[in-house]
Amino acid sequence: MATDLLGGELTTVEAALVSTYQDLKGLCAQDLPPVAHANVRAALAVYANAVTSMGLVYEHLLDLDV
Amino acid sequence: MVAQSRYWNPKTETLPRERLETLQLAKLRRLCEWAEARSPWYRRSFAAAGFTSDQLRSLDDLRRIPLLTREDWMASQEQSPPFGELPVGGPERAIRVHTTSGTSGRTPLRALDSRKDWAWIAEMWAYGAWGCGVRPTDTSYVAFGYGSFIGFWGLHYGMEKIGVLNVPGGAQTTEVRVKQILDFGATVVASTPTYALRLAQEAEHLGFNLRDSAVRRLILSGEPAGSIPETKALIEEQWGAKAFDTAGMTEVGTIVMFECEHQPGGAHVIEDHFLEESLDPETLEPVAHGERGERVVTSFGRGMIPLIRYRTADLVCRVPASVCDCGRTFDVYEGGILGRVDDMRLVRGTNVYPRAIEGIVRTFAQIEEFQVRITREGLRDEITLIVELAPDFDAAAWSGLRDGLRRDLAEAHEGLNFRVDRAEHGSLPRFELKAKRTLDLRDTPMGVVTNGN
Repeated sequence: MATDLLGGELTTVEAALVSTYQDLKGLCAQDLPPVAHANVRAALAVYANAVTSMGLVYEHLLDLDV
Repeated sequence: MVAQSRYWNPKTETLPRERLETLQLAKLRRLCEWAEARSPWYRRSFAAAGFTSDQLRSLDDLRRIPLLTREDWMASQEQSPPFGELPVGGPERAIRVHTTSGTSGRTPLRALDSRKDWAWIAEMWAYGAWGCGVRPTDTSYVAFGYGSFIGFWGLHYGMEKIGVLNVPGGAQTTEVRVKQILDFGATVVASTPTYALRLAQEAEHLGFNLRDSAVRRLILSGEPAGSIPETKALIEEQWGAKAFDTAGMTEVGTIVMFECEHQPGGAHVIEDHFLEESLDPETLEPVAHGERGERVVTSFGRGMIPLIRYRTADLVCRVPASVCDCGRTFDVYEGGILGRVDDMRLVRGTNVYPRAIEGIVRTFAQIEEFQVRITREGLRDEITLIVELAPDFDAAAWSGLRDGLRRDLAEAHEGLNFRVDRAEHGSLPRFELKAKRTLDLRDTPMGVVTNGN
């Protein structure tokens, strides 16, 4: 069962936030044209704040160039 | 739901203390693992101290981690220019570089940020702006030069993130800025406390009454004066708006604390993103709540330059969140940043703090600008307050004002005798960023006096 950084079970909304976050990370690993490469990273950079501030995920994304 | 939320992040801003500390410990472990694995400087520092991340079993273990000082950072920059060995990656991984303001005269620190780091910097400002009541319907005016000093850059993006209509007030004269604030109907203005007063002076000179403007909030940062009650009261009176203090530093990249709408006489620490300690600057032992200590900050946000147990040299007095009834569980720094560990001056055996002098000067509304000069005349130290008065000041009132200043300053400083002199209007330096009004000239040959620029 997925939990947050406090060990609590994710709510439905939190699970959806984490799922989209993982999707964006997955896209960063793809070979994308510049327009997608840059904008997916820009989106993930901002999006990461939602999951980190809500205590769902905490990691640095430098290896994805984010 | 969005506009009605009192908190930017309801989940963590109201976490009970025990849960908040659990969150901090989880982040601290990962941050230390990250720094140990990626930063050459931390790898060496941790090894020299015999510290490894797996030693972190509770927040009490925080003290196993070696402290980082500005001197450490500077030395690393000088040995491995231009960025030193604190960063976990090179400039090819970064999207921005900013520097410290350089007001201390030292070589500026250079800080690299990744895309995520930069988005986080704006995020912290969003906590603060939302916390003081800014909402998407606001129009904000950022009275800032938008240069290499990081200053209000993060606020600019934080405002955009909230959805505020943002007016960047860079590279303009004070007169133009005043007119733009009025023309755009700004409801929020961001500046240093000193510059908020400067804008008010300019508005008066131009014949505008800011109290009639749309401005309802001022977001202050960059100087301790935002929490000096007398300065804050003067700013609020001149603008007819509420003033909210924030504080941060380039080393962190953003603000660490903000004053909420309830204005409890201090600023809440953003504790889900920062782990703050308050230590005795001499013994480095923790001080109790309610006692003054030096801020030591650990930031969970910056990935490119991990900042772990950084000695800030800021003096603070931490008190429990319960002093404020806003519902946040984030502790409060009573009075914001109280000063710098190294800004106290000893004059004829009396401790003199710039903050205390400013608190007195700001009770005299006729004073537009001031400067404090400490000199040595023979074997005796002298302290002189030089004031610049409003152009319409009645010259006949000068002796009364001077005597009032001398009396109040002496009462606040164990009877220390201050000289009080008057300067020509416009002769003292004005400041847009961090004001530097205290000049200690005791090591300067007699007759050599700088204007502080």
